[in-house]
Amino acid sequence: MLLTNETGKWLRLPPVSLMFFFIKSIEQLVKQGYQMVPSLVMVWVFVERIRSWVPLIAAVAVLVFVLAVVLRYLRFSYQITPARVRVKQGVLKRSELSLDMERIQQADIQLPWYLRPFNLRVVRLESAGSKGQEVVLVGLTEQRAVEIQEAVQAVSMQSSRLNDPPELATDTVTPSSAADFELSLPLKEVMKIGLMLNPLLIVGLIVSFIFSNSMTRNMMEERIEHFSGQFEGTLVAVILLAGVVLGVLLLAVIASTLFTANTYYNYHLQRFGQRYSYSAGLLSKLTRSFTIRKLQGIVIRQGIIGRLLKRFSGELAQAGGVGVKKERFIVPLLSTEQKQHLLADLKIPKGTTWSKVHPWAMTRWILLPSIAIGAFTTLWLGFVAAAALLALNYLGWRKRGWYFDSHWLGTRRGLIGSVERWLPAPKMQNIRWRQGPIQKRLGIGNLRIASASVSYHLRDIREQDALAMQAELIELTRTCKLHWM
Amino acid sequence: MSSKIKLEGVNPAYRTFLALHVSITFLLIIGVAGGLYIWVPFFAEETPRLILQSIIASLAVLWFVFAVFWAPRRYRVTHYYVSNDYIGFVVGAVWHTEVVVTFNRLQHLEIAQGPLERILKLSRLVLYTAGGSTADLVIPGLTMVQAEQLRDQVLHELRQEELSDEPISAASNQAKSETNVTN
Repeated sequence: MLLTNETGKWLRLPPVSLMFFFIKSIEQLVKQGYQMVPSLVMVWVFVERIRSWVPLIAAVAVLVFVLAVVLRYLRFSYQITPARVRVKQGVLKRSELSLDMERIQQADIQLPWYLRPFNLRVVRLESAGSKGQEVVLVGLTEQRAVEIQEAVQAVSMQSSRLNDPPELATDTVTPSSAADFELSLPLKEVMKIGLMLNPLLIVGLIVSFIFSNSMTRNMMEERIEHFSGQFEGTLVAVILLAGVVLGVLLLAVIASTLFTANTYYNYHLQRFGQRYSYSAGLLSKLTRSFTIRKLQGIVIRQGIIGRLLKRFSGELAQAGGVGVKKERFIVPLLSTEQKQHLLADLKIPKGTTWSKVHPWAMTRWILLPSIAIGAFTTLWLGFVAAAALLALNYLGWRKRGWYFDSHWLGTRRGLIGSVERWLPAPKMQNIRWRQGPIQKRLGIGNLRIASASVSYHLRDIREQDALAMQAELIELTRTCKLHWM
Repeated sequence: MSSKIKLEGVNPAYRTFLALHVSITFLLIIGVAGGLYIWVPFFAEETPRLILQSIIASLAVLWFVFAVFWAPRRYRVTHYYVSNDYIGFVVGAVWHTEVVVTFNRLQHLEIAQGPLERILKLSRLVLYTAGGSTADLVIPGLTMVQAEQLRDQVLHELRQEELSDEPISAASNQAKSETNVTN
């Protein structure tokens, strides 16, 4: 145990951490405050008498904001003992959070840009469980940060009786001959990550923002009309508009590439014993570590661009469902060989044979959309839609598959790309079997296996297989006396 | 589910609960539709009388079907079972559903009672695991005594359980593997 004589004392954060409180408060203000903008604009427009008071109101608001931030900083104190981390915080609403070391599933050390001049670190501890509580300690020295991370890992190892050497002597994951598993990404590879994040997604976000409210939508329409009105022929205007769209797309690609290159610069992943750690980052650096005993699933993804580049991305999933805020343990880029290495390191069976689902699965989402299209347009368009949907479903059906042995449950789905998910079988939380009237006739049904991370849906699988799997999963989980968390 | 395990039915008052529950829902729908027709002139002007009458008639038929046929049938096909290590809930004849939770994955459990259930002296046993954000298994139609007995039985089994400190998941203990991209 490396925790020094400060163990058990209530401690304050250094004054430089005020920066963190300011940035966090501004973030919160932007997140929650933007909804107030329309009402503030209305007040500005309609209540003339207030206008002359605006500078004073703004000054008071800024003063209150600064005071609130300083008070939040002053009222923040923490205590670390070998068993738990406790935090007291809050100005008007005081709260005391107690986080058991054993429940911490991830311990990060960050070096944000604003702490670089002071060479101080941020330690972020995240608990497991449905609430997923988080403790953030700002402005710690490198030594102290590493001490805390090691204290967390020591508890985790103690309880799993795995006596791995505490290899993390610094907060950087550096290539080491003693590591059990290593993976590093050179800059050339890191640049591909941004491309893999589909740039169309970013463009989609911008477009949906523009069309989400009438003000920006009208403004855009006016601009486009005004723009195309400047040209004599429609063709010229269309070509120019297409050029603008392409330009925006290119900018989005460049922006996403630079953004992810900054996040994953010098990515280095390694495993010592039962603990994976990675470090990455250019402007702000992050070291994240994850103990395999907390693993709740593995996800391997490949999008359209990933397929072209022959690259995958991976995630070691923790407890906490979709929509729960969590810091994810990501392997942003994997070649086919690296993917196999990582899966082998996690003991996932080699050369998986995926079981197919029943062809009935192809008939889903065809009838109603086609009828709707046929009814609102013309009959033949309804048939075309049905044929197109069937073709799409066939492509999806070809990729869909499931795998089960006494250690792992795997699912695969996709259209052009693919998503592979793996669950350590005895970590199942609950299992649901559902069968509709048509499925009953066909001898098929849907099995949903919920994990502490996401649910695994095996739709339209043979009743015989499903019931055998259900019985075996219940047996595996029921007789399992090992820790799942 | 193992064939040795005995299926338990729920309390007969659950049938009344279901019938009342659907009746209240249908009354609310009919009430909202009627209210719109009476107080919002637009609906009265735009909706032909025949359409309105057929909507109300079909709602009434549906209400009758649900209250008289569906509720008793649903009650008959609602079961639960308890073994030493797990608990299961089975419901539905046409759309069949079965949910199973093993005791060693339970996070917490509660007994819940709504106003209608309170009148009929019924309650629900709600079991939560770490999977999903909502309840994982709900057994409705139990008397308070039944629900408490079931809860105590589950808690008793939970207390008996002894866990080893070893984890389920572990990484490979093969020799060092290194993988760097060069291409």
